[in-house]
Amino acid sequence: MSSYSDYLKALWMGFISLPVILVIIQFLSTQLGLSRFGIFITLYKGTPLTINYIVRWLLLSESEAFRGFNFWAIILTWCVGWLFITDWVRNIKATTLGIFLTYVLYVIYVTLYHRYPLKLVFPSSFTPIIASLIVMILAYTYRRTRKTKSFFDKLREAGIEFPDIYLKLVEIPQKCGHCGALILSNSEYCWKCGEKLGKINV
Amino acid sequence: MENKSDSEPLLEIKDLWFRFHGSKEYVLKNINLTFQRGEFVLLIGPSGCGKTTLINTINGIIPHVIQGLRKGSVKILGKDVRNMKLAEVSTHVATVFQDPETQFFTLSVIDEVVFGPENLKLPLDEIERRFKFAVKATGIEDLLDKDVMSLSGGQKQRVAIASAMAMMPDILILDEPTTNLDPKGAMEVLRTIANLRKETNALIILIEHRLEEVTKYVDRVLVMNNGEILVEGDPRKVFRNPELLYRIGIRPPWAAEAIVKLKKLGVIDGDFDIPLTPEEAANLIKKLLSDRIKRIGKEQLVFPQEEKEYEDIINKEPVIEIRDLWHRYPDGTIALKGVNLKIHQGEFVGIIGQNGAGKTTLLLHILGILRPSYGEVRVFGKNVLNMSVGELSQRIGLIFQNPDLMLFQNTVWSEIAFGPRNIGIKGKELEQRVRESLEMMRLVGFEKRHPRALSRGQRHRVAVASVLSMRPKIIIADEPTTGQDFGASKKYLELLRELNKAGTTIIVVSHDMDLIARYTKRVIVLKQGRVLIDGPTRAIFSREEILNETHLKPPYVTRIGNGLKEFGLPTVLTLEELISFLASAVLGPEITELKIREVFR
Repeated sequence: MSSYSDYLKALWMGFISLPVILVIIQFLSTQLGLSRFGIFITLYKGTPLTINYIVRWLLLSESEAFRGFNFWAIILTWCVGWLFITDWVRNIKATTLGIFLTYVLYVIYVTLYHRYPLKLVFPSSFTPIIASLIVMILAYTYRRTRKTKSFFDKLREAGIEFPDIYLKLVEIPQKCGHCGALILSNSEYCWKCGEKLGKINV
Repeated sequence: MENKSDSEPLLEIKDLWFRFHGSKEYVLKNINLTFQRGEFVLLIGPSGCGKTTLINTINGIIPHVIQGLRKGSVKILGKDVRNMKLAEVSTHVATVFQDPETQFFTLSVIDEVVFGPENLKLPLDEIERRFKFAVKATGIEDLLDKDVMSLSGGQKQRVAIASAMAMMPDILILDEPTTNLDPKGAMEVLRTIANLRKETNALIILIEHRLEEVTKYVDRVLVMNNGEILVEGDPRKVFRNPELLYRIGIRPPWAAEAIVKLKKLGVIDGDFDIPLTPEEAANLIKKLLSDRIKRIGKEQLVFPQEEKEYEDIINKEPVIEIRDLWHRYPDGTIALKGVNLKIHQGEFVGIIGQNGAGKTTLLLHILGILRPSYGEVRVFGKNVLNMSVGELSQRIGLIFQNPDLMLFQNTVWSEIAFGPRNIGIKGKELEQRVRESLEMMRLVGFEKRHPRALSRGQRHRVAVASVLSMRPKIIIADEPTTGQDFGASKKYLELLRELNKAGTTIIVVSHDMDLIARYTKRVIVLKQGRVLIDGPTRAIFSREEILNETHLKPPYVTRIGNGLKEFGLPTVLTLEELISFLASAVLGPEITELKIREVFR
């Protein structure tokens, strides 16, 4: 069940988030005054943006998309998008398939829905897929190799200590060492003789 | 002037009748009562009998806020409430309700206590005097520098009482002030109320279900039923007739009931005052029976079959396995600290503990609503985190404290069909499931009725039926008796017992020890996120010193029995057990079961 939802999450988030990220990058480049340093993105030209147009940029099917920093903005969009999705979904199969399916859905959206004659050039038009896959593999490998703190490490860091008996895993049923009664939980006392179980061998 | 107030009653209710607008039925019928200064009065009655309406006629909410047809008079110091402004009534009468949070206006304890006097525009030194009086009367000195929202339930209610006392009322009304509290919080509040008697000369009117804890302090008990005062008088006289209270769905104090039944059976005789507490009852029985009782046989001290049943559970299939479960909430509170336990098919388990012991957190993990910080929960061998809501709801049914939270459809039929429909069941199977649930809950004939138009007991049955139609193997009941009178609680628990006999695993979370003792076979006591003790119900309630560690007390009947241990009495869980042990010890084993059943009819 959870794996189906991973595939859905990866596909849906990929499809929705990339255009949004590209618009955010365009907005930031304008608002931060990056054009003064020669960094200039020409997605927005004063007329309202259509989703169809943004998706064509993301597919690198517009000749303008290759000009200047436009190309790097598009690659950055794909990489940032799939970096977040990899971290969120945490399922490499779902994320890999998500990258390809997102690309295919974009192509379907532009060609079948908007009847736009899409021109894809090999290999340049597929650069976003390759870049996204590299970023995803790096992110996934980093996550796997990074030493994560256990729940108990975090408690220790917060200065919370517990008696050893709290950290000892007791097999259920446990047997009271004093009277031999069976106990169906890791209770602190024996129900039969009232003996404190932490003090004796269990 | 002083002579006048001394001679006239503080509160006088004469020929009082009341009905709400739009209703033809009178909620209060011919009430005639007189109260004096310094009296402590307990008002009891089944749910819906008119207790709250009666106190609303005293504090002025009726007729100033809630309107209706009122006949007769309610006079405070000779002046009718109807002819006083609500602000004027509030200088005489202060009311404390069930939920203290609904009464708080400010954030700090000090601000809260002085809020009332400040609103009366009193001089600063008078406010200070009242503040000191209220703090001393309620003993909240140690809470003064705190934020009201950081207090425990019991502490909050004590602050609410202090705010009421700061108004220096002539009449203090407490409407079920302990209903939402755990046993420790309830005791804290009841001790505070008892202490008020020494500190104030006000008339105190208390509505409370925990009779054992309060009857020893009160001067007078008023029993209401169906809008009328049924009986009134000294508690020892009122509780001399427990059958009358049983008939209207009120459970008399166990101590009083035990003595009356023993007398009826002929185990004790003579003239004596009816005891009100377990300790008084045990002392009276000791005094009356010391030379008549034969020592109860040693073989009766233990119940080996119950202990064996508990140990044999391991041969059954575990339905819930909790392994090293830890949970830390985002605010840093560690609610569960390595809980390890198994619950098996067909068990009837009670989970008890103070508020904050981890009961709710544990349930939320079983239901897959909370994610463990560490460890895992398996239901029928499968990790709950890998189960869908539909899958879980077919295995576990949760019955809320308040049935109204579970009812949202327009007919009883669609309410019961809602769950199965959501998991794709239709046609004949749906029909069959709904019919079965209706029959099991004795709701046949109610199919087309609106669930909200039913009585509380019927609404509870609809809620259980809506869970049963999912055919769960496990039913969890969270505080099933809160806000219900004894009669309704008993019927509901009998129902759960029937389901348990049919093979359903039942888990009950409750503060009501008498209920846990009577119905469950196994008790798990939680303390600060750990299992303190777990075992057969009788064995757990015989360990009073371990229960004390978490401020829990055994059921009242068990406490009466514990006071008679010198006769060799075993730990008793129900009144029937106590009576039959004593009867056979005094009258001999030939005393028939039939006779005992007779007195319990």
